[in-house]
Formats: sequence, structure tokens, C-alpha cells
Amino acid sequence: MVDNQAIRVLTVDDSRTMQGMLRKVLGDAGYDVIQGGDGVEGLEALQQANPAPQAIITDINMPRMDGFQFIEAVRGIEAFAHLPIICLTTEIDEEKKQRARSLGATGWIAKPFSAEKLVWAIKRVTA
Amino acid sequence: MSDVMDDILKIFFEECDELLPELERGLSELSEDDADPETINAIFRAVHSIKGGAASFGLERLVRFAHVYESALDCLRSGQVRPDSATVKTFFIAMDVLSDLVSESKQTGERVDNHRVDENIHKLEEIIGARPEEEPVVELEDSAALEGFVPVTVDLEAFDFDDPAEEATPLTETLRVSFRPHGELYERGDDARNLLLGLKSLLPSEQAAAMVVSCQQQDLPPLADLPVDEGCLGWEVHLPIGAEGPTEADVHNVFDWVSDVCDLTISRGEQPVEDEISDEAECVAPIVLEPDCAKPPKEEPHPVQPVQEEGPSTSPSSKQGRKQEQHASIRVDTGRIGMLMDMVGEMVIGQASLESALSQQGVTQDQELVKRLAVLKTLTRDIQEAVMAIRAQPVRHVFQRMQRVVREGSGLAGKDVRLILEGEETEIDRTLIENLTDPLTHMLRNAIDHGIEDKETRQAAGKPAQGTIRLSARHRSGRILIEIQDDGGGINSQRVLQTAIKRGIVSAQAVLDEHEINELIFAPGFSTADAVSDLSGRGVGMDVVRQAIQTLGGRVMIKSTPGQGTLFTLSLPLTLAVLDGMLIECRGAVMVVPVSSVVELVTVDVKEDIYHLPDGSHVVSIRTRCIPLIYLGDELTLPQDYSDVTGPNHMGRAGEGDQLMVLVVENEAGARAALVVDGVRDQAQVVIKSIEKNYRPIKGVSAATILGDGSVALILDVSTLIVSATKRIDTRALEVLAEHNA
Repeated sequence: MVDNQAIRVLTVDDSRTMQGMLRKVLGDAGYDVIQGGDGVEGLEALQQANPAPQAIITDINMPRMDGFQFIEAVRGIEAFAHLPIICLTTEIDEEKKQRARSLGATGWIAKPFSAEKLVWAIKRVTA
Repeated sequence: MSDVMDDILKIFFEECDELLPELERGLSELSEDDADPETINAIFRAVHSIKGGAASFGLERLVRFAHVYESALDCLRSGQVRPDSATVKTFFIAMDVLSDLVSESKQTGERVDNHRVDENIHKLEEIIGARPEEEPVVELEDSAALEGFVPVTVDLEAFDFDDPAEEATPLTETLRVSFRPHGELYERGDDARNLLLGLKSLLPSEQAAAMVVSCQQQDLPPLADLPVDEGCLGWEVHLPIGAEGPTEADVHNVFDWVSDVCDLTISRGEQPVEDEISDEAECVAPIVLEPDCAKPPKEEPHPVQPVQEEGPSTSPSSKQGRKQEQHASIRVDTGRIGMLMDMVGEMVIGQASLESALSQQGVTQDQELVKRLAVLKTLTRDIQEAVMAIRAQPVRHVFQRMQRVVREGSGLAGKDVRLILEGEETEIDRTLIENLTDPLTHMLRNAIDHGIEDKETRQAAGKPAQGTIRLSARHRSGRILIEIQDDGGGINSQRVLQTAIKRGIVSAQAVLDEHEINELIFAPGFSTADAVSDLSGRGVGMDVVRQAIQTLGGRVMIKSTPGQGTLFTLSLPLTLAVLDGMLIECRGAVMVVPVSSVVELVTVDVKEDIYHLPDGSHVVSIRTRCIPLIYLGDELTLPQDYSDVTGPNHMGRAGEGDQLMVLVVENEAGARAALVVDGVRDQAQVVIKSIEKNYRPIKGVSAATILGDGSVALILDVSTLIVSATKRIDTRALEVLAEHNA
């Protein structure tokens, strides 16, 4: 399914379970998935990836560099200032959503997610 | 569920196995008052991750509990709840429940009692409820969240991307959607085009072409005045409504993420009338949105400025510094490492056999060859050490599990007991770690049950009401020492002796010293508990513990001080695979003494230095210290050999001034003995092969090995030899001798 034409998506989540789920769901939907285990790894993956991902899915609660810091850092890099970033998290707090938005998050999906919703979200930002 | 999902589920449980100890470590730090915010975050994340994963697999009981637990920890994280001892205790107990629920989900543990789950949920809710009153909103939100939290099982099999489109239905009505994105929408990486495509996706594919889009440019200023960070274009879309929708809610869904950065109006209308639109729009066309041909004009948003006080330039770089300390790691199946270790063992033997073959060929004079052989030898050793390092793990994993044992044990026994861990970073072969859990668990339960006195007794004796057990690990002379020390009443020797007599373990006439009496608790079938308690009385005694430790090549020692407590010392080898040995000869047989227990090799004069004691045993005086002498040949009942010097009879044959070679060895307790040997052949690394598995246990022998020439050699159990030699000798006689010599 993964070919040169496949859209590359970066997922950032510290849970290996979640990484596995994302790899499976997005891989099955034909996306080329690259992954990072926290914000720091996510940033590294983002900067090293060639071709660059066309969308990012990130967790919020992570060690070392959390999702908020990660979004802020990505937006601070000129090349990625408008790269779609979708938060995938169990946080349901409106205040936190607002904080992510103000930092530049494109969208928000609540965990546990359905495969359909996730793929819809990626399509929504990469169409 | 597919294989892939099974694999992911496996990953989830593996992850739980990592997260739970992390949680425990965090809580321990919390209880010791040195919890920084990062610790609390780690605690929170552990539970959070377990909940998240569990929800993905629809493990409802686990999710329900983890959710409340997480909420309670969130109160801690936000500082609404103080980590006082009662709260931490509740968290600890909740962790145990969580851990059991994980086991239940894994189907390795029994089902956790509903009552127990509910009771703990209630306790956690009390913590959540104990937050300051002025924030009732948060509490409401929280309980609403709990109710609204429905685990969704992702059924990947059922998910099909090529869902056939709905049959086209006759058009009757349209939804008129007009929106105007603000500049911020673009700053967030979104695009009006995404929204248009989102609207289009609401329609069955046959009707997609019926969507009418118009761009509203009336607010577009002249180029010179064009603001770069504002949205100036509006869009009006007419969506045909079929039997299956789309509904207004569907449209709101599309705009879900952008409702705050986009003016949106939705109304119902008829099919668009040509001139109605042309009034307000300059271009009207049913456009087919294909990825590259229908790009709507897009304003160029300005780059996002870092706004928060914690700027991206500082935080990532400071984290980067920490990152460098961390090493990338990979996961390897332990079976493979075991295989690698076995192969390294064979390599050690192979190299030894090469060496021995070369020396038989008489080519060892070749300097070049010797040099290269030495290089090979160094490499072999390095590889072996590297593999051992892979297998080594800190004892922390086992030690922290003991916190729970003590927590539950003290609860059951109704005693207040604190466990102090020391040397948790001490590394030890993982095979040993795995096999340590049961013996340690048993010994700790014993310490709580029999060692620590009840509160009243303790207070009467002037001790603090809370009992303390210290569990420590450290390296000492090539072995690991694990100590379990309680500050209880010590072993009641008289009671032990009476019980032993009653059970027929020793005769009523036996005269035993305190140490020997204490050793009786290791005798099979011994138990001092008058009533079998819930805690330690589980049908196994200390004999099982000693057996388990001996199987690991270790020993258990005991030291008790009445009124002050008991100290158990476990001495274990660093590895079960390889040891550095001294190859000695005795009655024509080659045997191995672990180098770690060798003190020195000395030649003694039979007439001058050896004393015969009245009980028939012998001691040797080495630099004014008298050491029990062991005639190894006799001790191991090796067949007599004409060249024998290693039996006491030899002295009868030996002439005056005859010399004996003795190897002085020492055990962990510092006790020494002198082994009479015929000679020392070499020092070599030997691979440990179990003699119990391949033959049967032999007293005084711990294992066997294969030498370079392919022959089998026995590895001596020095400690057992020392103990049996010391027992035979009246130690008072030694003291007299020592004084005499001095």
C-alpha cells in the first residue's frame, strides 16, 4: 500500500500501544507513517524526514516535551508553520483545546479514536 | 481480532509491565517527600497511558478504574490535593488494584473482586471530592467526563474505505453554507480548500458535482492595501440535501475545528437561483474539486510568532541536553540473549580447547602464535562480559515489587511496617532476578509475621511503633549480597529449639549453640507459628527459600540479635554462566576453585605448621592465624592414588620437613579454610554446567565444567566446605592455639 505517492504522516505518542494502533490504522489506509515517542523525537523525525510529512498527529501528555511544547516548536520552524497538526488525546478540557488552538493546532480528536474518524481527519487536512 | 491487533495488544501489556513499576517508583518517591513535578507527571502519565491503551481495546473494567485513578492523580498534579501519607497510601493501594486489573485483562490473573474495585474507586473519588470547594465547576466537568467516557473498540476488520456510495436520491432542497475564514485559520495549518472538500465529502459521489460553490470577493481590497494576515475571501456553498442528509450537524462537523476562526452561517434554501447569487458574487460556477485544478485563492498568512513564555527555542534545546544522556534502545527477545550466552560459553570452551591442542603440539614456543592467542583470549573475555552486561539488570525491578508485598503483608498482619530499599541499582543477571522474587517475598512475609513485634510490644521495648525492614543489595568479591534486616525481636532461640525437638528435627539431648539453633529454621518441616497465619503460613517454610537460593548457586545466612532484630544475608553469584576459576589438582583429578574465594596459595611445613586436634581434625597455622585444614581428597572421598598427598595418612608417610601446598579460601562471611591440594595447574574462565541437572547434587561441589581438553572438572562449593570443616572443630581450641602461637 505504501508507495512513493503515499502521503506521509508523522505521529507523536509516548505509548507504544498507541503507536502500534496508529501504524496499523494509517498504514492500512495507505499512509506512509513515521513515528516519534515524544515531542523531542517528533521534532527530530520531522526535521530529518525526507520527504517531509504532510500532516502530524500528536499526543498531548508526553514526557520530556509535551504536545503543547511540540506544537509550539513546530510552528516556530518556518518550513512547518502551516503544516497541519492534529491533537489526538484523552484530554477533553476545553481550556486545553483552546491552548492547543492558540499555539497553532489544526484539529482535535479524542482518544479512544475510531479508525474512521482518524482517517477522516487526515483526509480533512491533506486532501 | 487480527494478528496485528493481537500483537498490538501484546505491546500494550508489555507497556503496562513497564508503566506499573514506573508508577510504583514514582509513588515511592512521593511517599519520601522528594517528589518534584516531573515525578508527579510521570505518575500521572503512567496511569494515563494505561487508560488510553485499555480504552483502545475496550477493556472496560480497566478503563473505568484507570479513569478515576487518573482524575485523582490529576488533582495531585494540579496541586489541588496534597500528597499526604493517607493520599499516597490510597494511591499505592489503587496501583495494586490497577495492576491486578491489568493481569485480569491479560487473563493471567484472577478476576478482581467487584467490591474491591468499587471500594477503591470510592476512595479515589473521595480524594477528588476533597478538593477545595470554590471549584465546583471542575468537579462537575469531571463527573460529566466520567459518564461521557465510553470506550470505543476499534474494529479494524469492519472498517472499509471503499464503502459503496449511497444511491442518488432526487434533489429537493439545498443547504446554504456560507463561511469566511479568518487569517488565524490559515495560521493553524488549515485551508478553506480543506473545508470545501470536507463539505463535498458529505455528498454521495454521484451528487458531488451538484455542489455549487461561489467565491465572494467583494471584501477583497486593492492589491496595495491587501493585508497579508487577514482572510478576505468568503465562500458560499449550496449542498443538495438527499434522504441521507447532509444535515446541519454534518456541516458543523466539518467546521468543528475552525468554529472559532471562521464566520459560518447555515440556512436551508431551494436550488440556487442564478441571479440571486450573481448579485453578490462575481463568479458563479459549479466547480469540480479535484486536487490540483480547483485551488481557491488563498491569502498568505504571516509566520506564527512564538507567543508563550516558554518559547520553543529554549525548551527543546534544554531537553536536547537531557536527551544526550539517554541511549537509544532496542527490544530483544530474552531467548536470543540466552542463546548468545550459551554460544559464548561454547566459545570459551572452544578457545580453551584450541589452546590445549596447540600446547600438545608443542607450538606454544611460537611467540607470534602466543601473541595472537592472547588477543583471541582477550576478545573472548570482552565478548562474554558484554553479553553478561546485556543480561544484567538492576535489582530495582524485584525490590520495588517487594513494596507491595510489605504493604499487603503489614495490612494483613495489622502491623505498621516500612520497607527501606538500598542499592536498587545493583546489577545482576536477569535469570537470577526472575528467580529471586519468590524467596524474597517469602522472607519478607516472614519478617513481618514473625520478626516485627506488634505495636504494644514494640512500644513497651522502647522502639518506634513502626517496624522497619531494610532490603539492600551490593556487590562483594564477585558476588551479590542481598540483606533483609528487620528491627524486630530477633529469633527466640529457646522457642525454636523446643519446636525443633517437638518436630523431631533434633534430639532432646542435642547441645547446640545459638547459631546452630537459628539454622534450624531452615530445616524441612519447621514452622514456629502456633497457628498457621494468613501471611507466611502458605505451606512453605524457610527450607524452600534456602533450596531456591541454593539452586541459584547462592547461600542464605542468618544472624539474630535478641531484641534488636534479624539479618538474613543472601549471597548470589553474579551470573549463572561463567566464572573465573583456579584449576587445582587433587588425587589425579582436576577441580575448579572460584578465584573470587581464593585468598592465597601457601606452602606449609607438615611438622611445624599443622596441628592435630583431639577430635581428630586438623588446623594449620598461617602467620599466627589458625585455619581449619581440609584434606580435599578425603573430604570428597576421591579414590586413593599412589601419588596421594592429600589425605592425612600421607603425613605418616611423609618425611621430616615435608611440605604441603594449601590453598586458603574464604567465604562471604569471612570464614576461612585451607584446602590441601596436589598442585595448581592454571587459572581459566570456565563455563558453569549444572551438575544437578546432568547428574545429581554432590556435597561440596556446586557445578561442573568442561575443560579445554574436553574433560569434565568439578567446581568446588567453597562455602559448604568451609562450613563443614569449621563445624568439626571446637573453635575454643582455635583461640587457645592462636594465643599460644602469639
